Amino acid sequence: MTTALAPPPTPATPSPLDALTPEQIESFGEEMNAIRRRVLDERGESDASYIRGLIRVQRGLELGGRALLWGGVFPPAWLAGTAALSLSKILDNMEIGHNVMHGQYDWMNDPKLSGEQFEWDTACPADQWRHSHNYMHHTHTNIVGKDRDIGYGILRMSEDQEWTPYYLGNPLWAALLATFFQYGVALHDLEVEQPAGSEVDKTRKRELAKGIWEKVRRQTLKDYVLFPALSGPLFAFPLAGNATANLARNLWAFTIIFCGHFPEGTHEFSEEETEDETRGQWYHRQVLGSANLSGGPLFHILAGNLSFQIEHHLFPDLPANRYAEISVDVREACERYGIPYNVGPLHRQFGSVVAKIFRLALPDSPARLGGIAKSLVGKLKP
Amino acid sequence: MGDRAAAAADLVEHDDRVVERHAGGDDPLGGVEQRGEGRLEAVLVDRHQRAGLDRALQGVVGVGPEPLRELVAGERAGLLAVELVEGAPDREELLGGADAVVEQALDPLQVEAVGLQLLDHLQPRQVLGPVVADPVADLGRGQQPARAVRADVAHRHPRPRGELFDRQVVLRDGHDEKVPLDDGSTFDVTANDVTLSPVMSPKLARPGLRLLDAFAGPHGVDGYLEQIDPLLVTGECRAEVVAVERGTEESVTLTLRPNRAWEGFRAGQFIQVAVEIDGARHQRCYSPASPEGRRQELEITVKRHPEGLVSNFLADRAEPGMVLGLAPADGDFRLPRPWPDSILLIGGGSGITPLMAILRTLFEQGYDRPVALLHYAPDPARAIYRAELERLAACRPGFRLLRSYTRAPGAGELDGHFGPHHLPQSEPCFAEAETFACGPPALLDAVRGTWANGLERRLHVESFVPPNLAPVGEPGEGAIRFAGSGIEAPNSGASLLEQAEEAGIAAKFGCRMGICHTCTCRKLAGTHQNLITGETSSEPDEEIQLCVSAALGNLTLAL
Repeated sequence: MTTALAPPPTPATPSPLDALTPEQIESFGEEMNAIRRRVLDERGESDASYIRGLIRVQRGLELGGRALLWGGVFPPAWLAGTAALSLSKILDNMEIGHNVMHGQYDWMNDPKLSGEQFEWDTACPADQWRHSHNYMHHTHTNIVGKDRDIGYGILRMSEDQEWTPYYLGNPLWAALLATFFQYGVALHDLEVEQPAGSEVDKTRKRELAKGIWEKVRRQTLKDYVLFPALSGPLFAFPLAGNATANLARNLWAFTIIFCGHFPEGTHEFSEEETEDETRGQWYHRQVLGSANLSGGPLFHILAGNLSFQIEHHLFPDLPANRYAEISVDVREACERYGIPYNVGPLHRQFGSVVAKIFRLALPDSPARLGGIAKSLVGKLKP
Repeated sequence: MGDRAAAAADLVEHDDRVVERHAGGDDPLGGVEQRGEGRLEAVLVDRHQRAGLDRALQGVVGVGPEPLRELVAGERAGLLAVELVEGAPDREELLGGADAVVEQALDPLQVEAVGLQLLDHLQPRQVLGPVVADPVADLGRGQQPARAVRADVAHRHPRPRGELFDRQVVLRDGHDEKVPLDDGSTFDVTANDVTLSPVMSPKLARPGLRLLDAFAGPHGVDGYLEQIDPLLVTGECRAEVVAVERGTEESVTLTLRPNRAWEGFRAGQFIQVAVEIDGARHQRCYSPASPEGRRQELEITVKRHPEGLVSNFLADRAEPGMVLGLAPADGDFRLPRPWPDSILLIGGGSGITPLMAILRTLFEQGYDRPVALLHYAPDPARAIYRAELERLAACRPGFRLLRSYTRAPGAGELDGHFGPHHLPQSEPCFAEAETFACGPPALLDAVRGTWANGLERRLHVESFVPPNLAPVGEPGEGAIRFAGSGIEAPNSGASLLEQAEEAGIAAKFGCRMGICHTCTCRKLAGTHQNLITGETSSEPDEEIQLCVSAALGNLTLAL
């Protein structure tokens, strides 16, 4: 269960970080290292074929989608085109973009698949994503005050975030973020909720803003001006199709990503309790802060293998197509050590995220109010 | 420089007053100019050193290229440009002035020297700027080889990454190498040691290409073209293997057909071939053995190395239809123009390949002066290109073929390893011939030992060492070279990220624990060790994480 650290003081609940002894944690870390080494040894041709094949599918869906939407005045073409383009954007952003930029395929020495150079089909500039996600989020996962993915600066997703009346709108802000998710992600590294301090900071923010503007402009031009223009007077159909595809990707990505760290049973941490972490403790925190989604192989691919959030957080730079097989060993190890392994179907995990969004819109006390709301939600769940 | 500076020193005070008096007038340098061009140039140089670039530029650029024309006769132009450049590499006006200098200089070799100096100080983009116009058209307008040479210089410098370029193909294989000039004569490109190469301009000049790029999105047009056919891409050079010949047990000869992005090569240069093995790309250098000139195909011969990854893979598994990556031809080891009066080639093992390119080029283009080849191989069965060399020796009277089989004494014209006694004393005499040596380190050391006392300038050497046989040092041994920053530092044994920071380079970093890949950088050469897994790799051109890598011996980073 989640730990409450904010005032008023409650009887102290033991932190899940302390559930294991230091020796157990180090031993767990060694087992994780061994899994990593095994995968690195096996990594090769099949992983390269996988990502290449996936890219082929994505480019095909994109070209096909654009072609169909060109004739989007015919409803079947519009529907098929929008579906194809939605899938193309989902694949490009999640299974391809997110994973390539993690450096998962750097070992191929292919400049087109270099994590440091890859650029993706969404509003967020890739270099800013690499900074805010690869570095900030993955190093400081779920540490309140350091991991800005907790709430993206506009939501309250943890009891440890102090409640203010602004958060009464939590569900509304979440809905807006989901609808316009690609722009939310684009603005993420800019830290708009934190005003610039020094001159250096101001210059840096100006640079970031410039980069965001450049990328947004190019994407907007491509999706909302250039391709629709190809259809001449019937431009409204491809325009609507492109907008719908972007919306579909936004909602899907938001759903999957929010299931990564917010379902009931995941933990947040304070800066103090995560100071001077060993490698074993880092692994431990990654498991406690992440949650998986269960599903079939196609579901996992569409989710960018973020459905294996635990494995992804343990091994962000191993090729994501390996997470499914790794998860067997990781789950088994977690069971042996008594580390909670959070996994569930999409509707249940996301349901608990939505419940959390609503619950945290209200202050924690009076406690009774929280208790009543929780039991109501519990009765509604299957 | 000494007496120029001295002469300048006593002029400076006077000239400052002269310049001040004339400042704002039509000809601020009028008074100074009368003293003669040498003095003027010395004044400008010294003024720059004493009072800053602004004062120097006042006299040079502010009034346009006219005063420069007076100065610019031969070598002084180059020196002046260099001095100005050293003062302020970023100034736009400086480039205008330097451009004017280069424009007017008439001696191509001197222009090339200036170009190289400029490249040392400026970003390639800034040098490429003045070269954006079509050099062929310039030649046609009688602009002489100045621009052409600059094109060559610009081409040989590594291109900035991530930039989109408009390709202005000047000359390459299949095009006419004699360019008509305005006065009715023709300018023979190849006779003047000029390689006209495709020149990259930093912006997409043609609006059509720009538009296409806007449609293509982040993956670029190539991202879609390569799904249809990997050879269709325009931004990356690739080649298809069209023929495979396994001539000897130990070697395989591949014929490659490059795609449109290929820019040609000069006999003797090397190319980098990228092969995908078990999912990962590995790059190795090979010298094409084909003659330069109008060729659509490249021939490379790969010799097996006992523990070589790529050489064994190609020798075992190369087959027609395979697609390989190519990097543009590079190297100063090449057949010069105009042709030398006599040529001596010394080759061992796979070092024979660039020499074959040179020989084939010479004979195809009718070289009739003395040329000799000293060829070292273990035995006749393992001598690459043996049959063709014998044919050439039989039908070309000017060609002397001297072979030494180190493990089969008596089988060749010479015996044993290289020594001064192997050198021909006549037709050609080694002391007068332009000599090209290529092969394993032992051979080259022996050759270098023999060439001394002024003969070194006629000796050109190219070393072939496979990466896995390159010497591996201990942690803390050797030196780290940061190629992009031009800094070299002794290897302290610490992680490469820490060493870069020690050297004053602002390397990107993130988690500093090997997770986020923010510090990923290209290792160009050398052996590195992963501090977490303990694994080592000598692979050239490899992406590595600086925070968890240490150098074993010498190492070069792209940073």
